[in-house]
Amino acid sequence: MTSRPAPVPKRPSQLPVSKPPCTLHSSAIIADKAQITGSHAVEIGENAVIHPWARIRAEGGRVVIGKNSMVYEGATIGTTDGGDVIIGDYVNIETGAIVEAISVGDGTTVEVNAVVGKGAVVGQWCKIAPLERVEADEELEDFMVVYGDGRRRMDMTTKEHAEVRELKKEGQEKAVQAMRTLIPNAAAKWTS
Amino acid sequence: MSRPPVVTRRSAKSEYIETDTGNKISRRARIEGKQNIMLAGKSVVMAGATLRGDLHRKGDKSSEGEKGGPITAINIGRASVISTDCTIRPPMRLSRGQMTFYPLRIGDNVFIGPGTHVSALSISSHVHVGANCVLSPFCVIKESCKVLPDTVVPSHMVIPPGSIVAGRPARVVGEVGEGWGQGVGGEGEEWVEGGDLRPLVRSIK
Repeated sequence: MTSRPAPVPKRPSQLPVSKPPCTLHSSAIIADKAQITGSHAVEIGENAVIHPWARIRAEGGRVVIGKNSMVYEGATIGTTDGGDVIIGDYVNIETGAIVEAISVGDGTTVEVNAVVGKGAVVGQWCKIAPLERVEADEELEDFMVVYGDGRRRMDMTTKEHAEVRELKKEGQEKAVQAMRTLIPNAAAKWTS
Repeated sequence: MSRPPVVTRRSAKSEYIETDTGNKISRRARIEGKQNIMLAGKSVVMAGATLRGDLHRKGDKSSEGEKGGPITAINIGRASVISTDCTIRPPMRLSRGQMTFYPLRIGDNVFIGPGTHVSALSISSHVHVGANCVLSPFCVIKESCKVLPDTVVPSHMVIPPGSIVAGRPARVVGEVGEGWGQGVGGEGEEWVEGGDLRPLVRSIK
């Protein structure tokens, strides 16, 4: 975290406390009622959707959200005391989930009210079922499914069939497309 | 369910806004797309509840009979209670090459416990859902069911009438049996789970 000097913290006093330095892709959709707090950088990739009442907390470190990812209402991403959070592409963070992980791989779904602890590393195409937990500093392999009170298994269908992954990506792109027509974009609020 | 006593009947700002049909909506409820939400009457939406009425079926005028009128995304019946910090979001799936939201229906006298996430296709009447449950997309809950707290109902699951379900993932663990929703007539008992919730709705101020 300290090895690379962050580009922003030289002049933090110029920015209002409520508005972190945001780099939002022009095609990202940020709902009017989404909350972005903290003083660290926030990067949101192309076609990402941030739903109303989603919270992005760049209080303890950067928050990066990849392209075609979705953050649903009431989900919290970011840490309050140290640590960047990097979310990959095609990721779904569902309602009420709390993600404080170092990174979440591409194609992963964090379901309703699931918790991914601080310092965890979640691989690609993982699924964390509703109300499940990934403990702090835990590393989750690619294609892992966390379900049924902490049990784990490998999702062989997604692992062995590239076409399944392609279809999932396509589905996500269509979901983003649907959201584009339904959620008014208020990204300008955070960039200006 | 202890509530702070009402000191003055007409305080400057009451917790609930009451509509003409007797619905009580908390001022602290988080509602998007209210033009797409139908409340039949005498229903309660408590503080912190999130209703995503903005996620409705778009376009598709040929199959939808309505012309220009608002399309309901969330339909809630009479005397139903949506507790604090619930989320009601219509389910979404791929249909004819497009992601489409399907209207979410909740029947009469349904109780949704605090912190529960509802993305079901329909919940029939006299259903009692406990606290912190997750009703995944497209699940269907039929009449007079009881969902115990902390249950995760998987997507597309259909729960037959009169079942008790629990667990992660949810399984049918029993039946509600005779007398579901009928009070035993005990002292001070005004409403029971699965019964007529109007006394409960009346007591919420």
